[in-house]
Amino acid sequence: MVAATDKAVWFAESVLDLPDFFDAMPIGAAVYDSLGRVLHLNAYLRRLTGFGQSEARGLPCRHVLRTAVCGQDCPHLRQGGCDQSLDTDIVNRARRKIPVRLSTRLLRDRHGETLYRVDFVEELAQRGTDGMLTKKSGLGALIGKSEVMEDILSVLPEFARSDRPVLLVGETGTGKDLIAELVHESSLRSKRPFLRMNLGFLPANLLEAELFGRAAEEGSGLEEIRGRFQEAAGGSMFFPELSDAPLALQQRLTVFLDTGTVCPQGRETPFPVDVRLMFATQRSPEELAAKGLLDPEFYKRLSIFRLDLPPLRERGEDLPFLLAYFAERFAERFKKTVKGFSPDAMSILAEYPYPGNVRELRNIVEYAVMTSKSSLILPANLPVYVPVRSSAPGAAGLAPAAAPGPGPDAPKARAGKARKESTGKRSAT
Amino acid sequence: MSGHRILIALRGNEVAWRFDKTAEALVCDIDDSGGVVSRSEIIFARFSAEDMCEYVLAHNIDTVVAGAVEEEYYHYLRWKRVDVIDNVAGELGPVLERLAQGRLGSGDILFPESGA
Repeated sequence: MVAATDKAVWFAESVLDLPDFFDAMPIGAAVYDSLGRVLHLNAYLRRLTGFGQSEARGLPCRHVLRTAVCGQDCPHLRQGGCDQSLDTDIVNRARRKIPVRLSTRLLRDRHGETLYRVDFVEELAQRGTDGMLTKKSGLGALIGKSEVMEDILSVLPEFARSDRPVLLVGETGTGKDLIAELVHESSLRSKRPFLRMNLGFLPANLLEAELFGRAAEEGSGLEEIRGRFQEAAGGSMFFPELSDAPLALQQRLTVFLDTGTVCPQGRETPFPVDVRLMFATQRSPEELAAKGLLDPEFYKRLSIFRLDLPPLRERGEDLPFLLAYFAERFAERFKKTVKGFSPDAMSILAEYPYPGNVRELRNIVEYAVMTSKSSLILPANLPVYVPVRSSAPGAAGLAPAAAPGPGPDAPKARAGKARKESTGKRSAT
Repeated sequence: MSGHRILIALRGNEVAWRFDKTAEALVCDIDDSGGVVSRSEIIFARFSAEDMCEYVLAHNIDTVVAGAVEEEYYHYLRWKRVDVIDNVAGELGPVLERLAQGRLGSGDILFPESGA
């Protein structure tokens, strides 16, 4: 058998400039020998995985791609390519989980003997919390036909055309994350990274290093950190809660917005980086500013492209539309024959205030479809915290109307305790 | 107790390439002179980074060694003052040997045939 290094030499020294060809490809490609060891990672995949060519060469593919299916549903273990692509995810060296589509092909010689296996890796958009892909939905993913949603839909293309920072204000579940993603996907940056960064997650001392990078410091044991700005170069960064940004960081971000440069910790010279910033908040920016939690100069720059997202209770005409939309999608996903809601269930859902907005509505419908055993969703299929009026038929003695809702994620948390609902009775638990 | 308690996420005889996609681990105690004084193999009921983290905290593990560790789990463990040596690729023997010598670092690749 030809050793991996010999094949690597052949691959590198072939009359065809294969490494250059692979490097020019707009998707990730990894070339392996017959034992599944890496011979070549193209430029795209080096960026995606964080592995350098020399680090990856000779390693078993599972230690480089690190997909969720490595070791289980591996094309290499099947001794062949796979006809169909596989949607999975990888975790790269920067510890990011990235959804990908993996396709495998074999390169054979004239005699049919396998020379190489090649994995093609296409980066996918993040999935929504309902497990549905958001990237390919385009503006259609933003559901609603009320006037206020029409207005939002009409300004998004303008937002997408600009490079100015964006500020999205709205309660939880109103679609801030989705809109940020849509602005990115509709912009010229759509082929570049969209990085979502939760500023409340990191300790303050690591925050700036994570964002802007850090030079390695000899003797101190401090590793080099490639900042998120560098990773997002050419793309967009989204910060889901503005109020998590400390004032000092806001001031540094103001400098970035003015100069387009960042300076990693431990370095003295800033360098330019092209990243568009988007922020969201559940809180009132004016209130944050009044409390001294929002730097006035920073706020001034953010407020140019500001979008206030309405809560669901102010989008009355969207409610039946959204209920039908999610019922149809979840019915398809759970292979149910659900066609809609009974008048009683619809009446209950119309009166519910949805403190968790669209996210909560979606969770309620998911639960209802999951527990439904007929073509119509009945009151019995609704989560117990959705209050039932005592006058509603079949609702006598059930949960009090003022029962507080446990929050937008409750239906999922309760899915494991699904009630016996086949009789059509709801029992308060 | 002096010394150091380590959990190495495993997949077969190799360091697990994904922390969240393995149900095997080796837990060992390394004394101050670099000797491995105890080792036990753990099998979890399922692949789960949450279960692994829970075990780490419940059993006073000082250091976790694995391949890919998603940032959520990495920061959680660091927040709980557990050292994480991640992005490690190699078979158990060489990894444990280097670990005992106090020379194992994040990103170490210890497969003999690798080009690094």
